[in-house]
Amino acid sequence: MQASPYCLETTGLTHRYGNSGQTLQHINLQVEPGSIYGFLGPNGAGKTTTLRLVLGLLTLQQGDVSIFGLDLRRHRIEILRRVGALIETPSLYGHLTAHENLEILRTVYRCPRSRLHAVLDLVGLAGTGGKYVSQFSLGMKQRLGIAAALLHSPSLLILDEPTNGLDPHGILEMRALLKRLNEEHGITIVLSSHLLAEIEKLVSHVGVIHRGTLRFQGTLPALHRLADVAGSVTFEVDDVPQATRAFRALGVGSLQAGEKLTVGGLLKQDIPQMAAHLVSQGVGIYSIAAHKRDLETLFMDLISDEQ
Amino acid sequence: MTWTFINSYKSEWIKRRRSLASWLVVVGAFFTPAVVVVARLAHASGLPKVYASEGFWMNHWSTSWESMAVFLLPMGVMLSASLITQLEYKNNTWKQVHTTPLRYTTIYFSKLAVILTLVVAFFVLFNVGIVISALVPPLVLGDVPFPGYPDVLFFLKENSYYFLDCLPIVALQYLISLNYRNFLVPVGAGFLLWVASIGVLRWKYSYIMPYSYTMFNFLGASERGKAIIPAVNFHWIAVAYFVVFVVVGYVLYVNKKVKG
Repeated sequence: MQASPYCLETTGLTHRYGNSGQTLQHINLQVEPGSIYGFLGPNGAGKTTTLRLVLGLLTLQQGDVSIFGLDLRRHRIEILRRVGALIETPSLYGHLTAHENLEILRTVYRCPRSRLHAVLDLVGLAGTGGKYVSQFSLGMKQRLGIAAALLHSPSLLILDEPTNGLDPHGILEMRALLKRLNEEHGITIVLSSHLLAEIEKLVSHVGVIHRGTLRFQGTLPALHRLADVAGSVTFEVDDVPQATRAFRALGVGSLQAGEKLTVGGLLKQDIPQMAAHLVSQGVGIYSIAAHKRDLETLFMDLISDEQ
Repeated sequence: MTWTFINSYKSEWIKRRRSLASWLVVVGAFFTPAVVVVARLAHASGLPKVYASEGFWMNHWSTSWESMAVFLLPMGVMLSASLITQLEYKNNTWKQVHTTPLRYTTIYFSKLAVILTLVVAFFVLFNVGIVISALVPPLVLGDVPFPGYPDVLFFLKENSYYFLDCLPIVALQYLISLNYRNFLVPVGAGFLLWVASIGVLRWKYSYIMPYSYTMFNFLGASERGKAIIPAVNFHWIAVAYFVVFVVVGYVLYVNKKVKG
């Protein structure tokens, strides 16, 4: 069998909770090494279930998970040595300090004591001293959760909604931290979110999941192109009936509003050709306006039930 | 493999710091000795005679274990085992435990080892408490003589029996606690089994009750008639129950479909 070129790959991942309907259907995630992969979807779409399957927290029912080219079923321990994870709320012991919480993991991962101070510094929790984690704010717990995930210098970081509970400043800090980890340390990051705007500035790749099916997967530029393709162009002309006929001759449908005709499904590069055709048919053009769908609208369309 | 287990054990040991289970071990171990001291000091007039008797240590041992064997030890072990295991549910940390590079076998047995260590710690502290409670009256009251040397071998043997006898409670509480998020389930089940064990002490088959062996050990040595002490070696039955519960618990734990 050929080794997977992806850092993380799922093949035909399908999961069902009890007798309920299928939670996940044939999810084929492909996360490239060195990328920041934004796993997007509304609440209940199947993001957390997918990530829990990827980490072995749920027993695989159907499909395969491969991380670093290794099969999760057979190489769970080897894989987990190189993976850091934060799933939903941070897993922390409230009766212990931040230092003690990390010491628990440091003992298991057998990493040097210096890492403990390094990660606490990194997330800005070095000065919490003897304060118990139960006294931490949600934002502090979230940052400690990230520190715990980073303690053993993982190659792959899996974060489920890592900005939950963070204030706007905290979100910016978290974004900068993840960017730095990716760029300076080459860590591949998979992070889930239900808000496109929150991760748009951070990710290089996007996967959109809704109702347990993957609706889109690709690079962020590819998602932008999809938004462009699905845009519309409005022509303001002096002869609307003639322009309508000219469009119809090209097999393009148009929508009339006053002296304007709106045409859907055009690429930006189609506009000059379309304008030349109208002029050749004796139509005068006053103005041309291209309307892009913004990513948010595209995202909403991708997760609409008509898909 | 050995180092992995030791590291996992050390990691689990950190979790018990400042936990209710740890406090329970300390408070539970010194509770009875403290009560004994207070009772002795309150009835100080008869103490010189008590302390001068040859059977002082045996009487003192029996007095100290009376409430411990029947009530405090089963309840304390039940609560400690449940509390330690429930730390993961309470803090929502199973998902972190199960994403560390540890085999499920290592996790299962290192947690169990921590609980057993706490039980051993409890026995050590309780024995320290027994000795201190014997020495306080002579130290505080001038007219009470110091007792002679205790029979250390007898103490060690009895401690070992009590330890073996409470193993089924440890294993069953651990098994139940691993499988139920709600703390009331293991505690409720443990309490019911303990009450049932007391209720059937006079029944000839009472030895089938896994929570009854510490009671047998105490009542068999001191208060015959309150229970029908089985003719079989109930310490071995306790060990057998322990092995069965540990194996069943392990199989259930490893095969759990949702691990956090």
